[in-house]
Amino acid sequence: LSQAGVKRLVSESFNCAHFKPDPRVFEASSEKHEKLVKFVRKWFEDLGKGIECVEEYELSLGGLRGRADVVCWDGKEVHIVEVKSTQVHRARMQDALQLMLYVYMYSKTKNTSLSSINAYLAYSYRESPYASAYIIRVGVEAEKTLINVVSRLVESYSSIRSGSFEGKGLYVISDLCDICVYDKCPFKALTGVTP
Amino acid sequence: VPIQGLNRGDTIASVKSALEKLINIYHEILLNEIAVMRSNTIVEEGRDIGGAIIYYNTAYPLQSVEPNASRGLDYLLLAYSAINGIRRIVCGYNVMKPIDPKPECRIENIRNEVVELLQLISDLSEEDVNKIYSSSLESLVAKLVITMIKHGLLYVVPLWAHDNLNIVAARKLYKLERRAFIGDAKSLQDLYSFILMVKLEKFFSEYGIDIDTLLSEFEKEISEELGLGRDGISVLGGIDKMLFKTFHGMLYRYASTASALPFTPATLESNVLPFMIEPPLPKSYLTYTQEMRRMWTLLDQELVEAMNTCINRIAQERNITESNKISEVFDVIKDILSEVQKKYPSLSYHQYTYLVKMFRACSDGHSVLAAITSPTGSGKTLIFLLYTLIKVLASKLLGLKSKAVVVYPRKALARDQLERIIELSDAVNRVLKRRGVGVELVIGIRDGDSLNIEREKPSNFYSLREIVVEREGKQYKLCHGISASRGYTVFLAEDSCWSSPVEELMWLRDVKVSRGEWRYLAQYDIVVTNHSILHRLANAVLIAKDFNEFRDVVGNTNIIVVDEAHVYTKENLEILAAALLKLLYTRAYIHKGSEPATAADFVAGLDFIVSSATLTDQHMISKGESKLFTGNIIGFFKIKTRCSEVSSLPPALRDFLSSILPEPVLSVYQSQGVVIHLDYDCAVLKDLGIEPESSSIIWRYPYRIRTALVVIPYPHRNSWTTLLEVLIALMHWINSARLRLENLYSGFSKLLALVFVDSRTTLEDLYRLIIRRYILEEQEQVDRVLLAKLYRYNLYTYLKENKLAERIQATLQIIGFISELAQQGAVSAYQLIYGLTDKARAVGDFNVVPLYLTLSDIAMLSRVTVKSYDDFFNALQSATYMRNVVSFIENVNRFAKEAIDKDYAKLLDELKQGSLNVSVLVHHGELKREERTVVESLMKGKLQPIPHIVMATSTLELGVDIEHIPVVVQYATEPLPVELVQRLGRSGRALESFYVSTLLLVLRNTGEDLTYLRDQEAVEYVYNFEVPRAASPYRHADVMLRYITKLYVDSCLSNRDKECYAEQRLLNFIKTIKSLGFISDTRDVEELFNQWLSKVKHFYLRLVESSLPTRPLDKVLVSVCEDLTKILKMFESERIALGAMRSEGLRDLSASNLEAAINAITREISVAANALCSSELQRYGNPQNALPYLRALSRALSATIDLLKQGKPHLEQAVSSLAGVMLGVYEYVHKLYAQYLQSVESVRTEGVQSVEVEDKIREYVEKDLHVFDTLIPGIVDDIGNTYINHILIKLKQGKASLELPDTTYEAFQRARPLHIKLSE
Repeated sequence: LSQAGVKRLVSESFNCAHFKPDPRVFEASSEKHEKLVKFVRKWFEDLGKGIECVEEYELSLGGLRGRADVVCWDGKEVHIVEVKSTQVHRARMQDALQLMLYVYMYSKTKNTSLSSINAYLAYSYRESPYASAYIIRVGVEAEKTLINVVSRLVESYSSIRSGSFEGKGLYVISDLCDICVYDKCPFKALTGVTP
Repeated sequence: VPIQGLNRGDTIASVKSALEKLINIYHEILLNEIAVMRSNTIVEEGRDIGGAIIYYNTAYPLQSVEPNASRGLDYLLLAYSAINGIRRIVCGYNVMKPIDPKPECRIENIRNEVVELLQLISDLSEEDVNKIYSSSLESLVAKLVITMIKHGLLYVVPLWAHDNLNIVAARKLYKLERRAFIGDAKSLQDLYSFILMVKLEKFFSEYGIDIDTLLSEFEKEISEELGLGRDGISVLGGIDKMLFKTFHGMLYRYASTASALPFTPATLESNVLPFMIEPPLPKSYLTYTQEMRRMWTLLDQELVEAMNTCINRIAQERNITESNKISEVFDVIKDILSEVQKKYPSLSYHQYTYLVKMFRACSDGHSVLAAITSPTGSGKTLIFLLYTLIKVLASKLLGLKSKAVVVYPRKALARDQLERIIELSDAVNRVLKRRGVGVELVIGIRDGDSLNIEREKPSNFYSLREIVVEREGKQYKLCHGISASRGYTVFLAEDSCWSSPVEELMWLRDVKVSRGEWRYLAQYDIVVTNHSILHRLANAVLIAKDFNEFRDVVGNTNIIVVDEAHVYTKENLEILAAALLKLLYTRAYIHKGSEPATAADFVAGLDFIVSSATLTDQHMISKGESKLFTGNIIGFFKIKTRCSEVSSLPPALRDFLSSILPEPVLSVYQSQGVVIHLDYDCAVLKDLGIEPESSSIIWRYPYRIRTALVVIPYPHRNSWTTLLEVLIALMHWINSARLRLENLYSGFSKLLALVFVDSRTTLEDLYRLIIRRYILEEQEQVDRVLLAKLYRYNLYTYLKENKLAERIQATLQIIGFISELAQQGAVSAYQLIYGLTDKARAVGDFNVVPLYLTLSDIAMLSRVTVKSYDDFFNALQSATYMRNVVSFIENVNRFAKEAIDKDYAKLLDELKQGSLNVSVLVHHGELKREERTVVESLMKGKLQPIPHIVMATSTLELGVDIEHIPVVVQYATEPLPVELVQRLGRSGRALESFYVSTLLLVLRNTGEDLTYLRDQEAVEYVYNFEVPRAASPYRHADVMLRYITKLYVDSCLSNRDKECYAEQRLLNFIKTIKSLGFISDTRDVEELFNQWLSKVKHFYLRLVESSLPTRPLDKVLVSVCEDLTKILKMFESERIALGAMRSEGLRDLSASNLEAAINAITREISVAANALCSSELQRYGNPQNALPYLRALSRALSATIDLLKQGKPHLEQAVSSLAGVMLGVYEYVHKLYAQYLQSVESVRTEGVQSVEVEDKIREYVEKDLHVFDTLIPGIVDDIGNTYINHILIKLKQGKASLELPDTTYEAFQRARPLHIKLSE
């Protein structure tokens, strides 16, 4: 975690240490990605007059760094968009976690209330002349749960990084994880996880 | 007509193959439905964890929900599942990622498959047939789904659970706006639905399917089906409110909500466990063509060559050099292989490789330790039997003495296994006869059921265990008995064993004798027996005066096979281990002529084969010190992708082997490199020619599926209630399935469910309850909603008056309840039945009506607005299957009335005669053998009617091979995981049961069962993942000693007058096993034995010499016995009077009840009187032996009091006399006990305070603790305390005997607390 960026934190949090990171999580920036980012930016700018958007908006919090693909302001609210140009059927729940890390970091660093930040995931639509993207707004209920998770992630990350880590263990959010069941299990002391 | 397609002249084979395909599609739907029920997700991604592939919830933990059996699949998920099921069998899919459209599959191929299937399974007119050829895939899928619904494989249900994954609805959240689909994901579930939606879009588009067309085609088809307009299904709430459940999913739903009345749930909730996919069994895939798999046969060069070198090696080792003789033997063997090949034309890779490896080890001059582990039905028997037959026969033909012993773990050997052994031995002997070799391979069966030829009269012939033997395509009965001219004979007969023999089988024996038993065994080449007989043999040999007497039995044994190894646990494992150790010791002694000096001496020239179905599962989810968390797992696929050529023994197998063989002996095999074990889960892939890659395994074969539901009782309800309510729902499920699926295939009309209850007393109580009360509620479940009006008066006639009133009251309440609901507002009959409004939920929760509803019924009910109960009643009356439901209920009631209070044998007779056509039966060890046979024949369908439910103890756990059992219910977590796996394995064995094993585990709401509320525990228990901690007898000196000290007690204490040479023998034996390091206990086994010996000698002699102080108490017992005689006379006159009434035809129901009650009372008193008043008890009174009879008297007393309450005043005298007698007996027992315990305690501790003894007595007697074994200091426990109560001896005429008379045994059985197994 020494050089952790947002994507890295998400990928590591979502996978137990012994699993190889899933290459799909690390999305290479490509022409396709840029094209989609441009489309999304334009889509938001076209929402109404006075909307301003930037791409690759840099965020950092407690040593954690990341870039939100598109961030727009309409005077009252902020719109943060995580753009995924991978084929849309490769969408994963982790994408929302990454997005929400940006939202959290934005809210903390800009001292903005979460209620005035709208979070979106954008995916490229399959090749078609009449549509280019899916844009999904992450609603309040979903946001609540996700923010709860990412705030814990950031906390534990920061405390590990600053050497002041005293908690029971890292929060590991995984779709597939082991639990320690035997007394001798070395993992048990670290994670405090009991079945 | 088993299937509609047959009308058009389709062959049965093509129809069966169509059904197999349909079941594949069904499986795919079921797997996704389980995923939705378990975690609101579908089977998307698998991960290889080494021991298996696991499917997990990809949204976990961001989306994690509780299991809910009411969830179902929406139409898109259903269509996806169906298409993917077809794709699997046509082209195969990647089991690591079933949703991935790669590898591609041509649309045409999928289309053709559906068209072909539809032609066979749906009722198409010629015009329709022409139409489907040009239909789109979207329309074909809709037709397929509707056909499956019509056949009862799928059900349309409303959106019961509000959180149900619903892609059809999720699609509506997205709108196209300026070239982007924009939508709100309010919750994480919405987000997950979106992800799944795009995955499905991708999947469908690969197959040219348009989602909108897919939906509209279904809407069109179903509206047509219902005879409604284009918007017809709007009455059902529209396609986004329609869900689909499989017929198995419906069982889950109704088992989860089982309840007899509104507002009185019997279940709290249920847990849908992950599914387990298993590859098909070899017996089904061995028929695949060369294209689908590589073939292996018995005559493959490699195998034949290995056998040839093995024969040469055997000859060489015994200095046989005549090459003619050797090649002649080889010729015979080749002939035998050709004969066996006719029956087994193809071997699995697993079978073939074992045989090659085993014969190669023989060729190298090694004996082997082979551990064969693979699922039931995968052909293990063929491996060890062929190896054994060929090796023993080769030796015999070479003029050498060689013998094999095959050991099974049950008292009565399973018929199916014996049949296979006899079939192969028959093939061998026929070849020998044909070739005129002049030698036969003699097979001897020996277990408790063997024919006692000392007691048999000549010319009485019996079926030999119902075994059938085939000759030229014709089946013959196997019979045996004593012939006046030929003595014991085994023969084939055409119809009955009384008809004249068709052929005599001189080579087969199935007898027992009381004297000279072991000489009989010596004549056999292959002995097929169980561990108890082996144990007796081992004991007899170990204390024999001259070991050489047993040379032919033990000395020549060169192969030992332990089959069904997983069944050995606890005492059985100890018995087997002790028996094997003793046998190997004496075998080594006989070979050497002196004490064996090394571990290798124990197994010189001995092949040791272990075969088991389940000893490999345990470590599937464990990895070293940790294990997988099951909460996010939705299923398993039991195959192994990473296989090495040299497979090490799985830990559970290793554990088992080191429990039955000493570690140094195992090391002998290991050091020689002759431990043979193949991983079955790898072998299957080889067999099917699958070459796994790291992220892809293409699977184009059928599945077998195991599923399980844990039902958790409502906290305040007795778990018996929960079980019985579940059984009622289950009966309806079975009945509806028989009704509806029969049109598809006649095999489905035989469906029945198996229920396991471990304690026989509990089983009997539950059976009585279900017959007396719950079956009548069978009617109620449907009746209270539907038929209250119909049955209000005419079906309660058997119930006692107060009950009748209660029920009519309840029925009226229901009628009122429904009327009230109707008056409150517009509610449709459909909404009521399915519980779709808040108020109607109570109705929806306690009826099973939807199981019987067809599509058109649903449409009809949805149009009926209920204004009064009568509206509702009339609407239901017109539903398609209601007439059948009514007659089912009538039949069930008729059965219940016949079954109440009727002798079970009589009930079975009545069933055989065919006067009843519905039944619920029991099967347990206390039934007579004939009764068990009748129940089994009924279950198999050899006799009619096939019961709907059979409730059994462990008696049906093994060896019952019935194809049409789809469900097994287990009450309480009594069985060990390995036993549970066996039980679950009774179901889902064939097409008749959909290749789906289903377990309903009904927990108790107490004690250990509560542990299984946790998913992790339940999954590990049900799928046998609990890592066993086998207590190897070799690690515990005291355990091993138990089986030696007992032998000393048997042989030396009962012959006190003579010099006991066994003592020295046992000491030598112990010294040897100690010096060879066989016992890995830190305690010195020899020292322990000596300590014990001196205590026993000291104690026993004192105890016997002091003669128990029973004399002064005799008087009490004498007067008790006099009273008992009087009471018996009193009841006898009552019986005579009742008997007279019967002969005069004056009796009514109550008189016959009275007679039955009095008979029962007399029986109890007689048992007690016989035992208590016997001179034996008076002379050698052991108070504990009297305690059970006190129980018998107490039962007689309470039964008499019951009669008294029912207005039989003249029984008052009987009651007070009985009470008097009981006090007398109690006093007698108490005093006797006091004196007895005092004398024992004083011997044991030499000076214990009498107050303490008095306390102990009070504790034992007053708390009604039944200590069954006689007190005698045993060996020491782990912390060095001497045990008492350790060895069971009853004093019989001054001698110790371990045998209990039947009456005592029965009394113990009845008196023992629930859930405690009384081991043999």
